[in-house]
Amino acid sequence: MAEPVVDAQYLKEIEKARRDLRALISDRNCAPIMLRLAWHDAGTYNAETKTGGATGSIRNEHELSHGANSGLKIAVNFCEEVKAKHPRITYADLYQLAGVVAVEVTGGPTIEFVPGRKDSLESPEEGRLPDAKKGAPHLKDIFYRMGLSDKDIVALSGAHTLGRAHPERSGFDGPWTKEPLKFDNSYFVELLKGESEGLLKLPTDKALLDDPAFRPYVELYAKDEDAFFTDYAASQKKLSELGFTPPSSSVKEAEKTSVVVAQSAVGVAVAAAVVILGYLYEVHKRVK
Amino acid sequence: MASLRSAKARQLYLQEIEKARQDLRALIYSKNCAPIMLRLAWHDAGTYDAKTKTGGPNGSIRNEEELKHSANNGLKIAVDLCEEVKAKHPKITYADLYQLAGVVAVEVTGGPPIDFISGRKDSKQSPPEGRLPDAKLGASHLRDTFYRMGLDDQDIVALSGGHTLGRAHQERSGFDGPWTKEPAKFDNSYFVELLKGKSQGLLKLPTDKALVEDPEFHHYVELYANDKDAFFRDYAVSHKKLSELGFSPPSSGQKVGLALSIAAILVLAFVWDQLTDISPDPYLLWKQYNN
Repeated sequence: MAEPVVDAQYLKEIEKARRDLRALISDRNCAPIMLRLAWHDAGTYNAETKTGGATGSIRNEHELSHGANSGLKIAVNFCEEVKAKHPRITYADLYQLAGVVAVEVTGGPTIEFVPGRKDSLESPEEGRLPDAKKGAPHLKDIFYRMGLSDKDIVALSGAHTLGRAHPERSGFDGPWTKEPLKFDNSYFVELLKGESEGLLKLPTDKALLDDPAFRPYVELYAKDEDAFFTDYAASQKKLSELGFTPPSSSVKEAEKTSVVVAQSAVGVAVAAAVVILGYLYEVHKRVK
Repeated sequence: MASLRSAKARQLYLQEIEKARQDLRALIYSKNCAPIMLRLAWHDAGTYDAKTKTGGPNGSIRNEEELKHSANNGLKIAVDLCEEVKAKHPKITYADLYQLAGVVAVEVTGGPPIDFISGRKDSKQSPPEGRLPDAKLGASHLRDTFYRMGLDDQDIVALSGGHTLGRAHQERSGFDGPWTKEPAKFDNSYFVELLKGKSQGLLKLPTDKALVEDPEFHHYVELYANDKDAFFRDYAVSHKKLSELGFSPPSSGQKVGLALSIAAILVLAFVWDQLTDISPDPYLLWKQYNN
């Protein structure tokens, strides 16, 4: 499939889709599953073979039936409502935008979104997403394969601040935090507390405490929500751009440059005017 | 140095506002209370009298006395919800908080982004009852009420589009039900429904109907029913105006730009002065020219 042309029209459609996603996510209360959709589309990336990643392939029946994607058809269907109103936007962009909006609308950090991903109908093989029953070495295998780091692993795990697990989907049950519709650092606070009444801790969550590479980040994010938000925003942006090279000559860049040029021109004109006036004043003074 | 300190204080305040914005998004999302938060912002601001410069967005709505006005029935819920955010960000004024809540309510339900400038002061003085519009009246009442605030016909129609969200409650206003089929979604369907006339199960207040019957208002209703972008654009402008009634936003960005320009000019003048020691004397040049 061809890359979308990210012109001014495309950017306008993205902004309208962003607003429609906000309305949809607020109205249906589906922020957690939309975030999971974005993550599961992007998280299949293999940095060596350059396959998988944020390509919209998750909408294939074939990929939706992977065990890891249990329940995600719901999110794909929600997104169809927005795609119908904005057909030009690629599914790849739409799903990542949904993830960005899900975090924003629940009180999380603003994540920078660069559009231009192209769609693919080629689904990667099953098994690229993490298995919740495993541990730290498995997490490292999976995320390093994507091209992400230890910090990314811990920061992104913080997204469990939203939502819950469902027995009929993953076999696990319940939310990780007391306010599963609120994006904050309470996932890490609960993790450090150990056993919490009625709250879920997957084996992969507990692995973050046991591994010395991960633990310092857990402690940092539990103490400092701002640090978590900053790192989370950077990690989600990285994840959402796996396999995607943002177009360099985008309209936004051109807009920024022209603003700078215009401002500089005004500055130069003002300075020149003042210098000329000063010169004339000097002359005038001496003539007198 | 005092100005440096106050610039730093302003920076910190702006940071608190951004955090409060995030907390308001989370609150409004999890409690599903966008409509009542928008109404809170509107009812705090809508008491403004442009002539006497009283009322307006000053947080006074949280006074027991003002909450008891019949127009404000049910708003204590919104005031209490905002307390949760105020508790985490005590430096923010209630006036700013309530207007920020209104802005977030529109954004989170799919509406246009509304420019928000902070710096409103709180007041404990509540205006007299009767300044907000009476839903049972008509076009001339709407004009009396909104012109008194300093708003115009376009504002009246655009802002009425706020009824795209929420519903009326029997025990609050005596009216019942939502205006649109998707009351949790901010769009132009309020105007589409208005032009349809009677709609199954949807509310039309006498003041809503007045927008269709009055020829000036009608023109805007048609525009907004047919052009969602035009509605969003005009709504954002009118909402911002309403949220700033009686408030002069500090134009910080411009001040910094101006200061930098003046500094640059002074530096250039100094440099020029130094250079004229080496370069031709303007007076001599002038003499030469005149001879």
